[in-house]
Amino acid sequence: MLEQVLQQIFNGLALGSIYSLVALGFTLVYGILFMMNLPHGDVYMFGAFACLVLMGALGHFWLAVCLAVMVTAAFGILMEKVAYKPLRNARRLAPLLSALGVSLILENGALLIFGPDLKPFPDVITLEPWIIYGIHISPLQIFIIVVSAILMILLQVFLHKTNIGLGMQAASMDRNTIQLMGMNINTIISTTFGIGSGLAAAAGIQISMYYSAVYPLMGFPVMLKAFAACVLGGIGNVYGAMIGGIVLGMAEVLSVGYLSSGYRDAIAFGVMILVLLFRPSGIMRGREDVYV
Amino acid sequence: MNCMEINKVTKDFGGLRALTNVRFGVPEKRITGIIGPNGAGKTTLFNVITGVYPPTEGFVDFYKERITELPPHNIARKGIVRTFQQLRVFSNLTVLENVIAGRHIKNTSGLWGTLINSHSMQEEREKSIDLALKLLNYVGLIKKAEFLVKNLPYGEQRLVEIARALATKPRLLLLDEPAAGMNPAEMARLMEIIREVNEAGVTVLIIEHNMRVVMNISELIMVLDHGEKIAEGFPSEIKNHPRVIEAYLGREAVSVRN
Amino acid sequence: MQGFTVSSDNRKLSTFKKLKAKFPTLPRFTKYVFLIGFLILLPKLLPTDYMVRILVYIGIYMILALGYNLVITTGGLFSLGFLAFFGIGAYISGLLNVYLGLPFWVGLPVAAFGGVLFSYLLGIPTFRFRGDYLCIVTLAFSEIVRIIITNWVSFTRGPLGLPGIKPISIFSYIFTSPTPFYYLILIMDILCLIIIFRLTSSQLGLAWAAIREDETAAQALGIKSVFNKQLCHGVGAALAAIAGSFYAHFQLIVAPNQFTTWETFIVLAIVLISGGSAPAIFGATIVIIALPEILRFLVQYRMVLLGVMFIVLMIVRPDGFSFTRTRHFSLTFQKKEEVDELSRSTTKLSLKQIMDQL
Repeated sequence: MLEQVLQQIFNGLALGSIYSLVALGFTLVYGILFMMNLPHGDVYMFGAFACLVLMGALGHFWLAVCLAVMVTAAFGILMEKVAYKPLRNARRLAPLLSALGVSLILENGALLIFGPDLKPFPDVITLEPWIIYGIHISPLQIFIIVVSAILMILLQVFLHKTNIGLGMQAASMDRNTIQLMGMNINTIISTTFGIGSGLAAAAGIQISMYYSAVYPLMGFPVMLKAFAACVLGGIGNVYGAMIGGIVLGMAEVLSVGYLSSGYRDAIAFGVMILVLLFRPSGIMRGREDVYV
Repeated sequence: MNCMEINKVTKDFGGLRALTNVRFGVPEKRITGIIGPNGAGKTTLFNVITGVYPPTEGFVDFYKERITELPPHNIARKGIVRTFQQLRVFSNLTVLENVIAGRHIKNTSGLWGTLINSHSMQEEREKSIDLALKLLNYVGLIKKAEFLVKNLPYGEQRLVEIARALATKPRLLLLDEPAAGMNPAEMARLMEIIREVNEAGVTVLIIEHNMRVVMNISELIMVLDHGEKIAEGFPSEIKNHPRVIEAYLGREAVSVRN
Repeated sequence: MQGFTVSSDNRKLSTFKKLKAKFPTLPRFTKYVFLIGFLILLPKLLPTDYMVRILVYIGIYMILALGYNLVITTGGLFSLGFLAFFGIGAYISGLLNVYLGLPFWVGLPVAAFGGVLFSYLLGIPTFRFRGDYLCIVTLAFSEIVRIIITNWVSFTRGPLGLPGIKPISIFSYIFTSPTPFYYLILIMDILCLIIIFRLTSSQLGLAWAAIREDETAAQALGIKSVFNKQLCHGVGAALAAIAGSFYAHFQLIVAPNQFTTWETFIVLAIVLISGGSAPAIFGATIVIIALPEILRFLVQYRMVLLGVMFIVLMIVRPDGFSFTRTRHFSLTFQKKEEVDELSRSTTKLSLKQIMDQL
């Protein structure tokens, strides 16, 4: 019994690490632009498909992974320049609708190119579990947890030790003053999107490795889960996104153990509503200026 | 008699203390000015009074009623209405619609009344339009009643904001730097309007940087600096008050004077 | 009517009966008479039943679009996944009919109530926060509705859908052909337009617009923002659910794939392109609904183009393509003359006198 729970917790940790990566990209954008990056889930999907396609073209998996992450990061920057930048000073609804447009293009474009079915993703790291104290721990899960942790640590280092990183933090507090201080807000925003998209790509690739499959609509529920994770952890708070993602992953895995798996995606919604009702500032106390 | 008592109000934002122990009484049916250098906490005080955020400590009473924890819309319903430093008008609505929006509190027709277009609804509608037009005629914008506010020059938009606030029939009107960005003619008209508003029985509390405006129309002035009240009194007293001069011009200026 | 620059005396549109009584003496209304006459004769003029069916679909989507338009354009509430309410209305009505044998006339109000209820519940955690929260929560909500309907097979019959809904009947007359349905929808559409018109040209609709323009300023005038947002969204949801109920009793089958998230985006496109005025909504509905009926195979391309359209529209023309702006309070001709008189008169009321009247 205890073994089962521990097993679920471990599984949840692996899944949650992936959610954290996506949530991080989401919260970084929201913190600076106050904008829900609706296509974020589709960027995650883009990364996974980019890896698949590059694998086909180059034959070498790890090279494909690195390139896919970079290509996705570049795409994220491009997306911002085309669809969001012109609307930075427009009325509230405009960037959201534009975001919706990007999401539609990505999802339906992928559907047109790849078709709606699951596409197989190469099995590079085996899923054969080691059994330690009765818990199945697969090398792939270890890989996911470790890589995600490394990426999160790198992000923290970047945010606290580099100029641009500090600029990003400052921009999330006061977007206008930052420009008066001489920093280029465009560079900061582009970097934010680049990093966020890169992290999303890493997450997308990892999940594809985990399930050995990709499909065009895989991003949509993940975007909703990223939001749930951010709100759970505290919107705009980087640590919040990390913790929120992991907790959400665990919640999802635990509840799937007891509910029908069809309702899996509904867990995130439940979490979202509960948090907004009872503790809107989240676990780590996110921004206060989201109230009206 | 004081209509409003601001009692030991302190406001913290995380590590930043914006207001410290501000204690002040607003005399009824008079014009009171609040001045102070930039960042003194004047707008923060307005925000606390109007319920945008609660004070960290202290409370605010209006006609002996504690209004501190009330949300902004309830405070407006008590008769405390404000204008904003950065001009918050409904840009994509017409001038007339802006002022009619001010009549919201006075209208009692709910959803049902609106749907069936009851007689009381129609009467209230006529009355709202009439009164809004009268107010617009008073401020001199009646010819532009159907213009979109965003197409008006800045000074006129300010007047719309004031007319809109007046439509609520306030007991206390809070004006946050109404003269900012106005030319002398507009400013003179503004002062005239403020005086007449006061004569109509409305207590006015005005934050203003323009000394000529404030000193001219206020009967009482309170001075804030770095979140603290440093002086209170008649305009003539405040003009020569050493601490006030020091706050605006620095210590050197005081010694030069002396 | 909303969207036309001709300002009509609002009182004259207060009831349908008054309209009919006054029509012989008011030449202004002849164009409405011709329009209504044309609409009444329309089914007779069309060669096939299939075309009448398309008209009914247009009529049903009009109600949905009007409801959504109220929420987005007047209220400024960015509610996505709005079709969830359409689906909820359809399923409530359908389930009541299939399981309990309750006729459409019972299903309709219950569906409307269901729409309002879910809108209210959804709003409790959401309207306190910034507008962006609403968009994700509603999006998630529509996903949940779809998931629950698809998975709760024992109740909703799942992804295969719920067949066997009985057609509408008035006393013993059963709606077997689309034509009676068309007239019912026509009446409903006109009712909807009246409701929307009354709401937007009222103090209440103005309050919703004020919240949209500047929530802080609106609150400072005494407008309760959460309450009004709930009200606006609730009315919209009720209309969507009503449309759903009609849909269920017209199609005679409901299935989850009819209410996908993407359908919302199509209605959203209708609302945005039209910029809020009723005639433009009608035109956009026709274009977007009727054409794809004939060009079904273009579905996927349609969505990509839709995406591009959203982006371009926001950058180029965020206010849509309506040529007249929705007015909440406009001055009648009579009033304008009074205004001229007032501005020219030399006796001016003192402010005190004006404020005493307030």
